Amino acid sequence: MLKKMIKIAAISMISGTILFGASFNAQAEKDRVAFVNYFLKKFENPVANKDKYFPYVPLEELKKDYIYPLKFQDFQDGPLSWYKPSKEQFAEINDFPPYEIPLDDGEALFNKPFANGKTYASCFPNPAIKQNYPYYDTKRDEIVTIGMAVNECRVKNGEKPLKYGKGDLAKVVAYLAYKSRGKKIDIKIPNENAAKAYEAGKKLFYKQRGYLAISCNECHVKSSGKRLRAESLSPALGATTQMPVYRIKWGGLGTLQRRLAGCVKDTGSEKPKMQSKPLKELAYFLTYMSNGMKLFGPDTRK
Amino acid sequence: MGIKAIAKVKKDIATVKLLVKHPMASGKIGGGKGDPKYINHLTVKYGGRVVYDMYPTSAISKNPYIKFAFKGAKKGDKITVEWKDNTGAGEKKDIKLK
Repeated sequence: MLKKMIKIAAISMISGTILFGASFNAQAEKDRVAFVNYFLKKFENPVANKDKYFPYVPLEELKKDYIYPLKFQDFQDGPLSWYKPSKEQFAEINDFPPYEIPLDDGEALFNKPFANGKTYASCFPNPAIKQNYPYYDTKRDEIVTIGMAVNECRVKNGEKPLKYGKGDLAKVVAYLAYKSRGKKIDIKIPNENAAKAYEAGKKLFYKQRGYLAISCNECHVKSSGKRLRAESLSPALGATTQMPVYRIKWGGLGTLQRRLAGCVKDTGSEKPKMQSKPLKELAYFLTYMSNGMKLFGPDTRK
Repeated sequence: MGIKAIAKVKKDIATVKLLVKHPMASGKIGGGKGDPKYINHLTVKYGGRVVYDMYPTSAISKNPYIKFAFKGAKKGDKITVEWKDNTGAGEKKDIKLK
């Protein structure tokens, strides 16, 4: 009798989790579909939709300088996706992409053995993994970013961890990104704590803060497709596909967190520390929004 | 240190793009503090004659990208890129014209 009861309890528990397990990303999926549809509609025909989305852009400029319609994968080009002058400037630069040199360094670093004889390949036997990062580790109950994964590989093999955001770490991540080109971003929300982390990241994205009282949403959703002084604002959709990015301003590579932290500082908030919880949550949310988009990293940007 | 090149020939004009790996450090700013190290002479020779002659200073940025064209080129021939820097280091590389 007891055995039967345990059996029934076990079956109902398992079926309960199967029923509810799939729903941890239900809200996230709703958000994502709405996000994608907003951008697809906005950049479908700026000339026809001028009154709705671009009321202050002159019609001649829309006709001359805007590229449309933008398909889903086109958003991987960020600010270059919709603005013809930027795209033409970068076509020249990308003829011989400046990221090639640090990428070659990254490949050399990846293949160089540690003091104990092993290489990064022992942790990453198949380097085409960037599409799964950042992921929510249910056992450790935290978000694991690709930078963290690289440093954990180093520490596991007796090496010192590298500094986050730039330098050698960005070069190794660039190699992993290069090997993951073409893979579709696939961020999962496996349990309730992951859903909470997603919600926290979403809140940060839409929150007005800093002395400019500005949110990510203000420039990169509402004002995407418009210009801010000499810059063409990039859409938030597809924002993570080109990471780690070679920024001409930096003269080198930088990871997603380096870029996000810099932008948070530029909008008047305190610069978040690398791998801090809020920054990871923002990265988690932002990457999830581009689920399904093919990676193209590293790439060149201003 | 490393020279990457793309060299294409159309009719008899060759267009050459070079990406030279070099810190081009002035020794005065940022991560480049210390002794200056920058390319001060770069030449490209084709068939014995100099087709590109450059005397950069530390004002040129890290990993310089150089693009130029010259006449009288033939597919399959090669050009020789050579640079020297202020510390005496240098590099020479042959590049095939495609």
